Amino acid sequence: LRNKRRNVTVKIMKNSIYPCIWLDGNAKEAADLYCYTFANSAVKSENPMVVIFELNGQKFMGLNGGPIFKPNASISVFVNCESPEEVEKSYLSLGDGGSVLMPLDKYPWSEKYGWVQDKFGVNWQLFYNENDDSEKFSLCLMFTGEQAGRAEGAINFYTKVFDESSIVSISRYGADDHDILGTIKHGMFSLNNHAFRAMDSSGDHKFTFNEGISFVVDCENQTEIDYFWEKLTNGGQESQCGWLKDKFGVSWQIVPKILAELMGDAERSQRVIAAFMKMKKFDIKKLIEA
Amino acid sequence: MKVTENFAKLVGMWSGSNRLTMAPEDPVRNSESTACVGLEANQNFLKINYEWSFDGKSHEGLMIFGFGKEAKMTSVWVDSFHQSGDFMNSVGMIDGDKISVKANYTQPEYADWAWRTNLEFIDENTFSFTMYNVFPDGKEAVAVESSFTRRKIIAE
Repeated sequence: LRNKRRNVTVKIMKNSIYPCIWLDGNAKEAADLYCYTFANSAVKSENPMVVIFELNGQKFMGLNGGPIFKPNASISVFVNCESPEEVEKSYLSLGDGGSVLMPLDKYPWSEKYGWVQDKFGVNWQLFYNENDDSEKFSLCLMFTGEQAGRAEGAINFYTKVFDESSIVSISRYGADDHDILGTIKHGMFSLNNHAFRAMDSSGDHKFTFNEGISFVVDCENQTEIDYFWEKLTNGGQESQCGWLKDKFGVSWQIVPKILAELMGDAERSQRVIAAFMKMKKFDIKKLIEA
Repeated sequence: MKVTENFAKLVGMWSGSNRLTMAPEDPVRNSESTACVGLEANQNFLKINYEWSFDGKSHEGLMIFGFGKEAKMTSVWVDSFHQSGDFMNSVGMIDGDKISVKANYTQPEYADWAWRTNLEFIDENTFSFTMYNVFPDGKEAVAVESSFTRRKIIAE
């Protein structure tokens, strides 16, 4: 790591980044639905507050945070299905009790595609294209409202913040598209080897980024926490308990890896919770001393 | 007039550096910088959104260049560090792949000072802009030097 970039001498690790879905007491129910829908999936751990599950190797957190926030279509899970049949099966499974944003059909970009919002409010773009060998799961950020037109800047920004990043592809709205010429129609990028997508949409959407889906960045040490906190709050805003919003309004949780271990001890976890409830940015030393 | 062919090639994402010199005797402040370049209004205007930082705080700027008749150029510029809410409206000329525009300061006490901005297309993967303080006697001192290289996009 270059000193001039980070002003630190400790190497920043390839931090794991995974989505956290804000749910209202039904995180386990949601995780069970997702694990039922997708092969090679399982719940990895659970407690009354948090359910960790993996869908084909992609880690997710379900957080029983209460009714304050709900996921919306500004961040969706993009699923690169292995067959048209998988698109259809997933569409039916996830759409049960939910709603349809784009009906299952053939589209210019996919032989079989549908966008559903499930009964928990989580949005899924289910996609099949035999020529697409990208990751099975990626998170798609849609820049709407006052954020419309900022997708390119966000891709540029995020891929500089995270060390192991790349811009995979960029397509822009052309003269024949019904959106702002030159803004991002579809962008693919990776952050620390985790797949992301982004798009601008200037239509009259009623949703924008919120805490309903946030991104957890696992950190090995305080240096990493300090680094991501500084970079991502710059132009954004600090929140409580390791949460922040970046300048695009996207929520992040900058979390020490050791927190899971500290919370695993029932007696100690109460003191740890009491300690971090007072924190904005996590302070590992204080958590350990709690 | 349309944006010239070479400047239109700058559309995309860029990464680079920003060198700020507050006063000739002050040390140069270096920071990383990124930029997104686009075309606006039927490709008649070149837009450069850029970011840089000063003392750890991120700053954003926007330059829009208009390509007029007979090589005449106009530009507006905003920057969260350098300005406090007013556009800087500049006029100048284009000469091939180099644009130079200048504006007088709008504050009455500095009315005889000016600010020059040069934008240069170097090649399809490199561009730079340099800003100068122009003293009342006409002498110039570099205030900002920013240079950028195109971000690599794997699928291109």
